[in-house]
Amino acid sequence: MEALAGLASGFVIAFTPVNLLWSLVGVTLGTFIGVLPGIGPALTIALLLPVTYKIDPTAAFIVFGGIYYGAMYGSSTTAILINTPGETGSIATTLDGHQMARRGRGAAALATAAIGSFIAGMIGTLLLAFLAPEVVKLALLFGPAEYFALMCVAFVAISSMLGTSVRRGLVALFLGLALGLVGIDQQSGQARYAFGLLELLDGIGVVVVAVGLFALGEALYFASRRDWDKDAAIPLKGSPSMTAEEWRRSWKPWLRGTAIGFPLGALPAGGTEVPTFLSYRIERDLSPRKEEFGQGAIEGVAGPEAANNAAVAGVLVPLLTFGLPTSATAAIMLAAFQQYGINPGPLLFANNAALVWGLIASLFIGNAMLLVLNLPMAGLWVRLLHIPRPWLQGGIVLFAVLGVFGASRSLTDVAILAGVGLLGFILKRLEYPLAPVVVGLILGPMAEVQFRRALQIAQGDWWVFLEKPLAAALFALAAILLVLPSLIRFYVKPSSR
Amino acid sequence: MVGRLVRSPEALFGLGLAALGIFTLVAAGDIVSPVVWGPALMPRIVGIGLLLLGLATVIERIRIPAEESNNAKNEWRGFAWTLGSLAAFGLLVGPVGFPLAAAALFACVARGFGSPRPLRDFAIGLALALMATLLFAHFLGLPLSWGGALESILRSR
Repeated sequence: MEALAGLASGFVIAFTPVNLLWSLVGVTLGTFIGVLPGIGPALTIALLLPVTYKIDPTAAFIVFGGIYYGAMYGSSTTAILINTPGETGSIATTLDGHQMARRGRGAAALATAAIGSFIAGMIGTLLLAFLAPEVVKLALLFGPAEYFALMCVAFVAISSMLGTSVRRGLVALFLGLALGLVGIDQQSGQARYAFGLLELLDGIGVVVVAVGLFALGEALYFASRRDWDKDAAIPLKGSPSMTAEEWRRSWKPWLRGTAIGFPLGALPAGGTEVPTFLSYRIERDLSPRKEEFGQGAIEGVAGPEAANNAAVAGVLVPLLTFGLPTSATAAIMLAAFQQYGINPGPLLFANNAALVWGLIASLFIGNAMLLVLNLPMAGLWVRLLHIPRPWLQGGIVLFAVLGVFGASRSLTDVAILAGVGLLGFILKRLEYPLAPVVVGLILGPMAEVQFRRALQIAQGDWWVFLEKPLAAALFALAAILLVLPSLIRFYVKPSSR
Repeated sequence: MVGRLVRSPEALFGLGLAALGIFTLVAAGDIVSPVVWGPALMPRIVGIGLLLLGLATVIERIRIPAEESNNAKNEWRGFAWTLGSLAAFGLLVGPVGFPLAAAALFACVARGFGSPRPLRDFAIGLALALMATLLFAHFLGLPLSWGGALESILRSR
């Protein structure tokens, strides 16, 4: 029972006053940016990277974990009250949540979202705590060939699951891989694609890319199409609460949403978007009142909102055990580990046990704090929805520039920011997903190391990737994942969007 | 066929991807890579991938032109103000320092999002920028420049 011992030691760390405070900071900030449209957890953590460098890594990851969990709570408020998803994981919530709000049941929608998120977050974190040590044992069996195969699974999964087609996802991924090539090659010390520019030798920074895509790219996108101001927030009457009937209709979707969200988050399936739509569709198919869906069925809020929180807990399994990011936010958390000189992966649990278990324990605490922040205090967050969009967007771009320019004081970085912003704008306009770019940028160089190491050990024999049974099985999985999304989309699409 | 290519932004984007792929491949030739597993391997794979994906994009868009999925009308003025905000920041940050340049940036973006009162926006941006500057200096011990004019006033006190 490694997990129990680990959790016990983790709670000792997480319950120190200073770490409780960091957890509160994280979940509050997470709810804040979750409620605000246009700023998500990936962007927030990227902006905090230069700041958190000054604090101890355990505290930093407690904050990041809180932000990731909190964003999933906060985004449901926005989805329900103004029909705009705060994050991609809440798109499914807008379908019935907003209809509930229009029918005066906004308070119940918020309650089922918050309680569902809490239950899913607790079960998900518990699964994370008990599964992670077992997965670590598996991870220790991995050599370079197996690691490379696993990274290919992640590449395929994130590009095929997000966005509107596999080709679009792969384009975004390869753009990220190309950006990741810039700079000094880790193994040979040779400069690649630096064009003699000193600024490019260190590579293109994750902060510039994440901020450029998610802050500037999205701002340019929304500025170019003025359809974001059509919905005003629906006022919330009373505090969130549910009737007995609504409880009865919610609890099964919460559990089913958790059961769908956690494995899809953990099996690199690209974050929170797919599990929420899958959960929505399943609830619709199982419901005896199909006609209510799209008109304000509470199951259509309860399921997806549980699914997105469970998926976030799931995403942390491959991140902590293999060092494998499967969402943009996880990729940036990986970059944060690298900034501290920590290599996430099987050795993390041995070398940085205090950090890992402190983080996991703090997620339980943060989840409890989030329930309080989002149920009795929901009315407070609703006020954020009244910030005029011009100021909100101006503030996001201001902090984006501060995050990029403040640390380096280099106008070259501002120019790169503008370039990446334009790229993000083009990708969004043409409906390409952005997350694979970030994952490609961060995971690309890591995959390259394993790829070349495996080939080097095999003295250039390409069969090395298929001779090892585990690697071959992973490549087969990657091949399946390439076609699976078309099948899921075929099931989910026709009537849900 | 050429007409379809020019009229589809995504097909043009595909051409750009293919060009980037060719560029990546050509530049990979300059990398010293004595063994198969050398530093040129990954650039070659990425280059080939970009080239193939670019061609696939062009072909897909020529065969089936994308339907106009959102009929929201384009608002290029908003786009220009938002992108221009960075140019304004880049030009101003040297002479007037971070807070004033950031306030100008804020006002430009707000304008891009349809705010009608630039002076009020500038004031809000300035307050936000001052707050951010102080926080930044406090947490990182990295003071941002206040700008030549302001600094000389502060120093004369």
